Amino acid sequence: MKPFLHLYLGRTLFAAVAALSLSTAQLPAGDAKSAVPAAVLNKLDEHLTLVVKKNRGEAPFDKPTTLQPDIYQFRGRVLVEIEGSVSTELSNQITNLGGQLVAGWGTATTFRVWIPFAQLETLASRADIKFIFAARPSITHRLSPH
Amino acid sequence: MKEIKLMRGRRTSARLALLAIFALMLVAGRTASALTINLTFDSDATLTAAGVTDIAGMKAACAFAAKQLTDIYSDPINVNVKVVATPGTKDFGSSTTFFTSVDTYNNLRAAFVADSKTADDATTVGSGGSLPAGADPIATAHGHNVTRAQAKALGLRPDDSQNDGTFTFGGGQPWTYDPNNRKVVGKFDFIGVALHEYTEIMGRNNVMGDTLGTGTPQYVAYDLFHYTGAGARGLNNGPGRSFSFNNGTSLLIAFNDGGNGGDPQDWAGPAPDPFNAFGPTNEQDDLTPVDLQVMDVLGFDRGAVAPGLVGNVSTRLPVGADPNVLIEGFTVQGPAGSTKKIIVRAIGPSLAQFGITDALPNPTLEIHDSNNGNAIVARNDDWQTTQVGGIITGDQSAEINASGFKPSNNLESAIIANLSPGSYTAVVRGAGNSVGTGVVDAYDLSPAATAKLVNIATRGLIQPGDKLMIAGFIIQNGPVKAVISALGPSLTQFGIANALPDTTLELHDTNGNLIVRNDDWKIRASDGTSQQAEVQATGLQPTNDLESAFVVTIPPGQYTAQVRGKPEQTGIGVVQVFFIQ
Repeated sequence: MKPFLHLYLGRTLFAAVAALSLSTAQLPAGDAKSAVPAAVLNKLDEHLTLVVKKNRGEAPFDKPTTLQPDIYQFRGRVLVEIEGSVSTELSNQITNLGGQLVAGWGTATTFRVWIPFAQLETLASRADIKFIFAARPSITHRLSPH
Repeated sequence: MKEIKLMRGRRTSARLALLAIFALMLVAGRTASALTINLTFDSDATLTAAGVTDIAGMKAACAFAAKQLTDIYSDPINVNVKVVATPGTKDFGSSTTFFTSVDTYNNLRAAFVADSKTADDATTVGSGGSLPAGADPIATAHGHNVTRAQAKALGLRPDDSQNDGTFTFGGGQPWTYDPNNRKVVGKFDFIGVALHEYTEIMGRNNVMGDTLGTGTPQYVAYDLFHYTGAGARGLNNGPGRSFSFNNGTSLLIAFNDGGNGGDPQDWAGPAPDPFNAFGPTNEQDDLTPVDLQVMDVLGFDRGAVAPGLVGNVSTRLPVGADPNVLIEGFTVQGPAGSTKKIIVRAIGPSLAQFGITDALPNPTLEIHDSNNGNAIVARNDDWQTTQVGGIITGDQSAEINASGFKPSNNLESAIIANLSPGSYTAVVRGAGNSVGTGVVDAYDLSPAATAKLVNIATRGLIQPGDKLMIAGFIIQNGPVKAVISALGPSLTQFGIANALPDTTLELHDTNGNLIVRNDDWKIRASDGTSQQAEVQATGLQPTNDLESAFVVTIPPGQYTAQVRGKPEQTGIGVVQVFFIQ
């Protein structure tokens, strides 16, 4: 029974966190702004900061705007590059948050992650994550002279 | 002081003359071209350190290449390209391109459907196209992408000023940057390379299953235009693939085999083309019709008319009494049975509004058919009064009025003519043998017709100062290659006693900027080297060494070819512009 209880409690906790995230996302702009610790925002680059603000309906997204975060996104998840330390525990949390560690890319201290928009703050709040950039997938093609 | 005043007076007169030509040409309107390619460069110090010796020339070449695209495509977006140089010759040319993900094939296709504006676009998204409705053409797990710039063109992301990609070139490569001297022994055509890299950033790109660091195989929209045969996609980088936008029914040009070291989304070649995988020296790489189709079906909006269109020709000259009348020759080229519908006008009194004080008060106009014994096939005095006869079978005043090109003065002349392929001359005289400055011009009323205006040639009396001869023309939709020449001494063999003994020739853009000049046609004026072979290769070289000519590729815009005597003197001269596409 114990493992099941663990799982149940874990799921309940996850649901609570997710619900908190959801309710935070629905907060009015003024309240939402005060709810995001500066320490978290300081770990996000300008594009991901916009993602958070957009997700929370904060300015400039509290009015109609053509401004869009310059991110690579797919079905509600954004591809980010993280400076930090990869661990099994981190990988598990990313999975629990609905994200995914990109296998075979980067190093143990610089890695890529797909993460749902709403979970960016949660990820950035971790002590083992130093900074999160919006990943910009690119390709280089070379023209040959002969 | 007196000399300065004279010079100023002459300059003012010449400017007014050009203003008159350009103002008349503007009646034709400009092609819609809202696409902007914003170029940002490494610092001059960095470029110098990389071995770039002609930084201004390099930047001008980058801008010239960008203009080849912005003059053709009209998407109201900014494509933002960073241009950087690496030292030496390790690098040649490369592009680094950013992508935008698209959630599903249906969403990708929907964007192409919404952006469909041309017949080729419609084919692409139609049932027989390369982006048909229905199931995702790629069965395995994957993601769809467009390039960042392409996403803006397709409306998948808002326009912005963020970097869409980087064009890198080797600063120590032997480049030729000169737009008018691109085919040079031992040198690479920098403009062609810039076109190659810009278009990759714009969407002519290849991903073909690379994960792009996302953990999942990715594809870019252009991958879906690779075919090995009818209905057979070539979703790989191997041999046997060709570009097709109608599901492989028409394999328009072969892609390079990625196994040979070149890029798999480039053409195999070897015909000169900026999209080729390999770029040899001594080659000028201009965009081809298929290249333009590629960018069109990738989402960049292209006008409906054919590329490289000569939309207007005009000549301003003093019109004297017989035989010193203004004569403009023009040639229509096309398949048998085709016709070119144009409006030809003789303008005089309305030139006064542009400061021409000796404007021809009442011009008359005749069109002669050189294929038919130079017979008069149409004539007009005042445009509101049609003179039926020859190729004119009914009242034209209403059609002229509705054409958008009606003369602004009732005493001026106009004829709408449906001309079969052949050579024609328009002759402008003053009514009652009156004299003054006049303009003869012709506008294309059937830009989609297969027949094209391919040549103008004007004979007239050239005098010193602002009485030079000016031939104007408008290029629309795409670059046109032309041979421009000024003839004088060779005219004596045709019995013209007062022919100019020596000529000079200049090509100017709409702002009056000198594009290229020439004195004697065998010698390139810019650097004193020989251009004899280049001109002779066209078969359109002058017969006298003192006459002027050059070969030039002209981007869309308004231009004037200006002829003077050398030294400036009075005599009969001819200016010819051959559009050889």
